[in-house]
Amino acid sequence: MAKVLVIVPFPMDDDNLSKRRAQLNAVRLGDGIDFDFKPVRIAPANYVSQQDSVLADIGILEAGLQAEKDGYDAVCIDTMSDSGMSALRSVLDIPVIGPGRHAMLAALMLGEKFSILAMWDRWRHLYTKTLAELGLSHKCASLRSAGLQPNNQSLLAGKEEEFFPALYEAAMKCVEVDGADVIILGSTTMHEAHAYLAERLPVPIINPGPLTYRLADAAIKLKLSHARSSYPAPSHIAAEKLAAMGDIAARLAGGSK
Amino acid sequence: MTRILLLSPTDLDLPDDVVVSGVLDADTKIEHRRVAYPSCPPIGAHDWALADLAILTAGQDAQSEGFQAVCLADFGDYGANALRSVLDIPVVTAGRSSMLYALTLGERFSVVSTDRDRVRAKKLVHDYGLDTRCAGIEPAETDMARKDGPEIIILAGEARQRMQPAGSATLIDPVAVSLKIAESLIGLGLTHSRHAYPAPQVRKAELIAALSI
Repeated sequence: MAKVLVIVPFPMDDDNLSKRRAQLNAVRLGDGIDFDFKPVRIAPANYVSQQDSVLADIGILEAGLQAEKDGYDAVCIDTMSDSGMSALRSVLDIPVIGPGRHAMLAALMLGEKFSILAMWDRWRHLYTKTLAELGLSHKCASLRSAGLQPNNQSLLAGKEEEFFPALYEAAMKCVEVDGADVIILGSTTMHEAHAYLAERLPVPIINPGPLTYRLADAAIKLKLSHARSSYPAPSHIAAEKLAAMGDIAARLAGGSK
Repeated sequence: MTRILLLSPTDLDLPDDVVVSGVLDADTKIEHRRVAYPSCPPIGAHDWALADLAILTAGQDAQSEGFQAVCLADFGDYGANALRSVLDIPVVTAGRSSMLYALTLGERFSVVSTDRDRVRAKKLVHDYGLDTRCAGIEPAETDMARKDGPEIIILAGEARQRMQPAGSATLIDPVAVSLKIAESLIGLGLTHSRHAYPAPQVRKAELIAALSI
């Protein structure tokens, strides 16, 4: 049985973690593969600034650093920011799948141009970073948001009637105004809206979390992983320091309750 | 049971067991059909136009035959766009899917090919907007084990059979990748966008079949 570690980018209780785990229900998984969901210990409050990006990189690196030693065959990162993906790739030989990069490349297997549908505009920097890294800005029809305040713990629960139609309206603008052939949900936290949108939109819409579960399976079965030339290994892995940082963050979070 | 139709050109002479066991799910069944191009090898635009038609002919009924996806094994992606316009099921192609997949693994890829595919590979890299991501189209005779050699190598066409693992390079088999991506798209309920591949107003299935000579 192949084992995949899914790193959830915020500390959370079991109830909220189960909302993340529910993404597994949106895809027919490959044979002989199992997924463990693990929240990080170090995290920003949300992902709206460069400060947050640094904390996110560190938190996800710390959470995944031992994944290979712990017997995992791949790591998936449960945030479209792909935070920590490059850092983890530099220290792990197993595949590390970030939904942002993978969703954009998968979208280009389905059409010529894609749009990214976000909850709010404050996530734009997450997508422009990956687009720049991939050199594929010319393939992005638009970054659009529905102007909605996200909640990275309870996700969309209780707000479906307000949020789903607003997301649909913004997605249709991506198609009709911006010329998108494919829509990518701008956050794995939006997965609860995927089925609603997929039923109604005239173009494919990618659910980025479940996509990573299939692509983890593909990478494991094809025995393919990232290139060391793109993700060179460090001369020394700061494992003890990172673990100590995790302990400190966990203590601080415990004290703030 | 997941049924995928694999179309490969006869000149490549791909075996029936085109991927090693264990790569695909146990209930995925590949039906491998070989397609003869009217003008082969496909080294220029004349040949490509005829290859487009041959693949369209071979795949246009895949959906009504009960397949859940079509994979095109030729790195040249002949007939892919036409098939997408007439099919609702995913049409996954060796060239496009392997180059995009390569970019999940690193910043740049190289394509290794023989004369059969060199010009076509250059065209596809450009058409897909990947010029800045492709480190080069290398002849199959290149020593890939050299120190400064590329790390991600896509084995196009005949190079797939000729190349052996070399050094630390990651070798990508476009046929295996396309089959695995097809399986993934089926599992996710995804297919190509009708906006990018609009259906014809008038299907010409009979004419297309009749042109197959």
